[in-house]
Amino acid sequence: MTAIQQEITQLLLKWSKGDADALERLIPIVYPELRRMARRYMGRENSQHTLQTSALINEAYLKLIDQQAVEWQDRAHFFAAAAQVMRRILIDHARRYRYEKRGAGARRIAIDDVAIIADERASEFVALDAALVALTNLDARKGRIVELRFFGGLTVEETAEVLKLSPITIKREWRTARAWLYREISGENVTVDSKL
Amino acid sequence: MNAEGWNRVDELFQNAVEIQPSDRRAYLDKECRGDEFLRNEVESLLSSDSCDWEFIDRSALESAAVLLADEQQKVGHYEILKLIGRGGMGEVYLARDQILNRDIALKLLPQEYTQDPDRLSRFQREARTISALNHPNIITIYELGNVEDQEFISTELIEGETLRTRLKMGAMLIRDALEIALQIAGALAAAHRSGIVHRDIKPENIMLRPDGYIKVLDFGLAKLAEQSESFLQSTNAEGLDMSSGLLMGTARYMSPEQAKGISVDSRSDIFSLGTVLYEMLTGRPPFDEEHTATLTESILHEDPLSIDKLATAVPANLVFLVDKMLSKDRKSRYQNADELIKDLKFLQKELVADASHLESRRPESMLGSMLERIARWPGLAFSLIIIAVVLAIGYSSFKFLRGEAAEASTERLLAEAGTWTTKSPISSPRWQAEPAVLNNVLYVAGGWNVCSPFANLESYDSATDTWTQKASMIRARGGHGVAVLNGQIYAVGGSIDCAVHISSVEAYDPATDSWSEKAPLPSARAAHVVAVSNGRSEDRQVDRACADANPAIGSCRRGSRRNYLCDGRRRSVRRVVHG
Repeated sequence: MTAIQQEITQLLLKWSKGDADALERLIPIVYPELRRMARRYMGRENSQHTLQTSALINEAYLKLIDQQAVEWQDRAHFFAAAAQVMRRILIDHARRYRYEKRGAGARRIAIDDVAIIADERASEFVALDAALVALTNLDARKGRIVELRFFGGLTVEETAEVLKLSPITIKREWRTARAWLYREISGENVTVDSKL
Repeated sequence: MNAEGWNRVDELFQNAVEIQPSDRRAYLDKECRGDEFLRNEVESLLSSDSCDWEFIDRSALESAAVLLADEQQKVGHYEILKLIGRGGMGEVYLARDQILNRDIALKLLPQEYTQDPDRLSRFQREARTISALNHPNIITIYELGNVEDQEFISTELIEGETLRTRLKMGAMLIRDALEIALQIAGALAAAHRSGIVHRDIKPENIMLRPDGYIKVLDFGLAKLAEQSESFLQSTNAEGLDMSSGLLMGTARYMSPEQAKGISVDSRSDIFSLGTVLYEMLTGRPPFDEEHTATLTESILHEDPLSIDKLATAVPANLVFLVDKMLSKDRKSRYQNADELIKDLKFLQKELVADASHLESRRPESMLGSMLERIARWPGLAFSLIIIAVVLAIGYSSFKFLRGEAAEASTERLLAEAGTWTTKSPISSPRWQAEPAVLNNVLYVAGGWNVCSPFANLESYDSATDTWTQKASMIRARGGHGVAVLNGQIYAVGGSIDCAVHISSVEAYDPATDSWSEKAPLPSARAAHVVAVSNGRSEDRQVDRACADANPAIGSCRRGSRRNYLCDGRRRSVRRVVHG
């Protein structure tokens, strides 16, 4: 149990119980940790630009969060909070990435495959976030399912547990949400390369 | 769309995806009953549903990792261009220094190795020491730094391949293997003199440049890892998985001391270099068991198959040298890298000589038999080593002590590559002074300033870089020969004027700091070379003297000093016996 884990866990719990300031203190701690982890996993799988998803997510939760300190009844709140933090961090990051790349006189050109893929991913993140806001307005539960599964990295079963729904329902709702988001994003003429 | 409308769309979509695509049209005909908006909504969702969309099917963190990692392409003022290597000690990237506008290699140290500040600062101290050596065979460190808790090292970018890559092509030529071993040993000798043990000599840490230079990487890093592991294990009760695989690459080349986990010194590096040399010569490591336990057992107790069983045309001396490097008992190995260098150079010369003189392949070849005797006769090893030192230092010193520029400075040859560093000067400018090494101390005796000969003897302490005056020679002289024999320095012949050669021989005893007269040479001579060897005669110790000033000894030529010993095997030099 490291000091960082304890701090992150406490801040996430505070935030999930309504302490808005906790988020502002969370992000600067979680963000560098995520970057370090990401770089290491990228390093390992660099040649294919693919990652071992479960390994990365497991490590993210194991390293960042003291799961034993979270009471069973808090778990739903807790993972929902974690997913929101992740969403906020990743989307902010994608926005800044695009700004640095395209705004302010283009920091640099794409020098390799990683940079090209990263650029495309950044665009997808920004488009997805906007679409997810719209989906949540239309159907809040589907919005939460996407947030938990996509940003929080939870499995169908874990998402079902957090939302107190059946896994079947989560699967069905996810499928609609996925189709809706895809349509929304394609409709905005954002390229979604099916090969990515 | 209101909530009710959306719920209807959702319901129809979820039902439609459950039925066969061919039946969906009929299903929607029935359910939508002419509501085109509803039908369009559901159909467009169905069409989206059939699209591949990996981005959403992976987790965000996975996709973001590319992004996060890409942004990491800047570490401080270095822009990471691409990954060029990866090992237990972190990833190495090709990066661009944006301030100096040059490409460098950037190594990011794994966090688990840099958590303990004491050990980290010890590592940094070592890195500074190593970088101060400025040795041509040690990678140049540009910067040690930290950005957002990420420790990094920037170093020169080395073109070429690692020895590991080269070894994938199998065993190497003996000549190439010796040259590589020699350069590695040069790097080790310099590091060891500064009290730094590499601890992780292995093919992965050796870079081969296309121009023939060898660069040794990662000095001191192994210690950081080693200590961090015990640090982690002692502080993390749950224990990180320090599985054997993690250290396997290193384990194959580790010394018995490392296998036992006891403290190591420079002789551990000699062993590891022995394993590398073994692999270069045979194409396989001496200890190649799969599992750590059996590997450790082999390193501790088993003698690897002799290299001449695995490779052809391996000289007996080389077998001996590798065996000596791989001695389980470190007291039986080369005691320092300098000793090893001398024998490697010896072997190199022998190899060259063998290539040019077919007849010298016979076992009675003088150098060959001499080297063979080292094994049986440890007492002899000392005098042989002295010969090699005199040859090595004498040859390099020759350039400046006998050079036309009579500058009062001495310099030390750092490597065959030719890097010189300025050391403190001797007492006065002179030429044709003669160096000698006795008990690991460098002496310079005599020499001339214009046509006035010196009698003085000075000794040099490399630790303090200072010269000390010793007892003067009985006769002042320059252009004399110097050799170390039985713990004394012999000054042989020389000249006392620009044209007057002498035959006088005297010997210096460091125990009493005095010179004593010895039997003179049969004829006066100067600018000659003296060497010590074991003769074939009953008198085991003889001086071989040869004067280029004496036309009677035709095979000795000025400028071929290095060849004199080789020529000696053809007995073209006169033998002078001293009691």
